[in-house]
Amino acid sequence: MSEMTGDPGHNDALAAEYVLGTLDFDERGQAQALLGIDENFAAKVKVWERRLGELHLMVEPVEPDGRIWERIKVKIPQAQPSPEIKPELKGVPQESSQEARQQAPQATAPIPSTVTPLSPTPPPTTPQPPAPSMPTSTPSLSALESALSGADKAPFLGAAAAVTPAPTPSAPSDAARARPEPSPPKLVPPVLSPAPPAAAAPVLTPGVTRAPPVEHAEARDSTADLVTAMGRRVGRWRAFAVLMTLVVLAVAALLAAWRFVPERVPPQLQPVELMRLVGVSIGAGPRPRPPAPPESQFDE
Amino acid sequence: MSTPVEITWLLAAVTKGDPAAFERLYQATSAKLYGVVLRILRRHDLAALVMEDAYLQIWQNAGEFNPAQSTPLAWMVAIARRLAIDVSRRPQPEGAEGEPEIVDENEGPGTVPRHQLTDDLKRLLTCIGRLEPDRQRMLLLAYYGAFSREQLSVKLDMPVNLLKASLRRSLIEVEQCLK
Repeated sequence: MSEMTGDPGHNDALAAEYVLGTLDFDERGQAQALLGIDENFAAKVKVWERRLGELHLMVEPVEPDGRIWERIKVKIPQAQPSPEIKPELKGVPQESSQEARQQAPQATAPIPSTVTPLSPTPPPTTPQPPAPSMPTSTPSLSALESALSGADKAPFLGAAAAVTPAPTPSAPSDAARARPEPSPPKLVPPVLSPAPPAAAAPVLTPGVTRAPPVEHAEARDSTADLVTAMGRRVGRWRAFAVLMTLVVLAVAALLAAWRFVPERVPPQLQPVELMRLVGVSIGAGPRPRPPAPPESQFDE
Repeated sequence: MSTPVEITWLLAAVTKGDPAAFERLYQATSAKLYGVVLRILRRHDLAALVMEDAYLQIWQNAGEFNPAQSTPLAWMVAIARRLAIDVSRRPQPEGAEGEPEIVDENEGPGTVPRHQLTDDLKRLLTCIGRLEPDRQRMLLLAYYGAFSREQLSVKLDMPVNLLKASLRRSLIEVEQCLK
């Protein structure tokens, strides 16, 4: 097994005692040196960490001093660009990771936490980001798995793209990798629908470059107006659709009543009465006979 | 205390560099990690330093957590323990100032509410339970206090060589029992 380090039994014991915590200073140093060069030994340590890992459940929690978090918090941005992370980036396109690391402190903030369902991190509140990125807001387990497996260190990719002014366009690449199927559009209708006018606005503005800034403001205003108008129109159509659905349901119910329980239908809703009400003349036929047998009304 | 699933989600968000998720992760787990670290170091000043290092490592290495291999809390505890043991083994400079050690008679394990007893822990405790009582105590004391063999031999009033052999035999028996 661990031919390069000699006695396997010794290494087994060393790994176990390393995790248990009983090695003295020198032995611990020896174990840590082995960890760096001997994969076999590192695997043994992992196994023992797993074996004994659950013992922590029997440790009483102790609330730490609040100042500890304050100190950790200020160190986070510097922690991110640490060179220690470098080796784990393998397997991920590296070209942008260099700037990403430099920019990480600022860039990380605007990235919506795309994987966590627990933090319903609000999608960007401003309407401008036309958010094709939102698909990731529905996490999938496979995405999580890949994120956790260490195979991809997504933050850097995301951070790299997020350096551009618009905070969200970073995500599509993540989204594309993590979740190929498109997002359910109902998740973001308010964001998606204003997208066309928002995208159109920049096309308009170059045309009015010689115009005073007021014009720009107006253009922006009109875009905003368009957006709200679109939103209102969508709302109106939705209300209309609901109304029509209700009407269809009511008619269906009435038809069903005529067909199956005609005797229960109140007289003013009888077909003949209704037709008269609507103004269709039924000729000189006799008045509707409430006691008429049900079959006589529809079966022929 | 958050569930393992919640902590796993938070870790995933931390992998993406989400500082808000990291703060929630800290709030959800720091008391447990501090309890573990304080047991080993028995000094608040040292434990605080280890907590800082541990969470910075967690922030940097969250992507290394593999849910197939361990629970998220066990993974975080392993990081904190490793750092705490390193500090506790570091030779103290002569006459170094610092807080006095916390003296705690109860150095063994606490109790676990039944609903928190995971299958893995049950199996492990069953296997440890098969050792003779004094070897059970030795193993748990070693884990929770992370005492060196020399310290253990004083605590258990036992020659170091004997203790070392007994410790290793116990670990092998536990390993075979768990297989």
